[in-house]
Amino acid sequence: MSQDEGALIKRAQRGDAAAFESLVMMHAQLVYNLALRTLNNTQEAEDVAQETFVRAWQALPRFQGASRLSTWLYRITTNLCYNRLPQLKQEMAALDVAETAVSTPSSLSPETTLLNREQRQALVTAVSHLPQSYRLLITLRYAQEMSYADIAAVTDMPLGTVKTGLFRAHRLLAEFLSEEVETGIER
Amino acid sequence: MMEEQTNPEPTHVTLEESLHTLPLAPLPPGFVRQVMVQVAAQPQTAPPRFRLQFLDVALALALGGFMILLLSTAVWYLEQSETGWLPALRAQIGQMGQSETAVLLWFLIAAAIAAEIALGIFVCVQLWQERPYTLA
Repeated sequence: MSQDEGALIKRAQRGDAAAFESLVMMHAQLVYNLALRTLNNTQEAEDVAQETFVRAWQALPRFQGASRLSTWLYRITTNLCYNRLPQLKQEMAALDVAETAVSTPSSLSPETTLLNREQRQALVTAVSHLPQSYRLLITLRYAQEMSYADIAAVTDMPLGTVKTGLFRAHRLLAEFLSEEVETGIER
Repeated sequence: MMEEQTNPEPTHVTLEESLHTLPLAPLPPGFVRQVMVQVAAQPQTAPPRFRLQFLDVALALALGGFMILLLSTAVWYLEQSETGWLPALRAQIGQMGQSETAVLLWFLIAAAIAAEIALGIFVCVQLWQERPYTLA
């Protein structure tokens, strides 16, 4: 947490709306994108992101600073997504035991060190087609740059579940991309 | 499984790099303003104050009473005991009481007790002035 953010939080905790507005501007895009990637619906994502900040405002005096503000906000967002998608939490919990139908990823060649523009666009599409639990994990890990431990705290899931989920999401994406590469070569 | 996770294949490295640069969607227009309109209508919730409840007092009394009872029982038992070590200890303390170093020892003990009492009074005064609790 930067010194500036710490000062803004303290002011907002005392009811300073201007300070809170600065915090909203600092975190809004990531909160919105977390909701958007998880829910796959712009209107619902906007609602959830707005509700996240309203709840954060109400509860801010109780924010102790034990975690980063961003982690706290993502936790609120994730809980709101759980409320909207009741099967999401079950899907997350099932990651530990569910058998995955995904085969071992073959074959983007090791020489393929960078994805070209089309493949990157394909990756965006692939992420949006992942099951919602994987989308949530991928977004927390890569868009929000969170550690496994932080993701576990935000999603209220065991660390092992988070690692397993991310690994399986990787495999799905790798499979999708290797198909893209093969298709590209054929073209 | 864990080994696979900690040793990503080249494919995964490429994927990692690409995932880190996934584009973020822009915020909907007027997002921050709409949030602040909603915020203006919402009061903040004050942090909950510690409430001293019946159970807190009862638990403290029960634990304190238990400790006193335990000590009393131990003293009573030792006095009844025929091992004779308690009278010997008493005699030793009595002899110490007559020595010169004992005066310093008793003074230190008395000072420690006085410090404990002063600390207790200080804490009580602080609690009274700040009152972080309400009596339920």
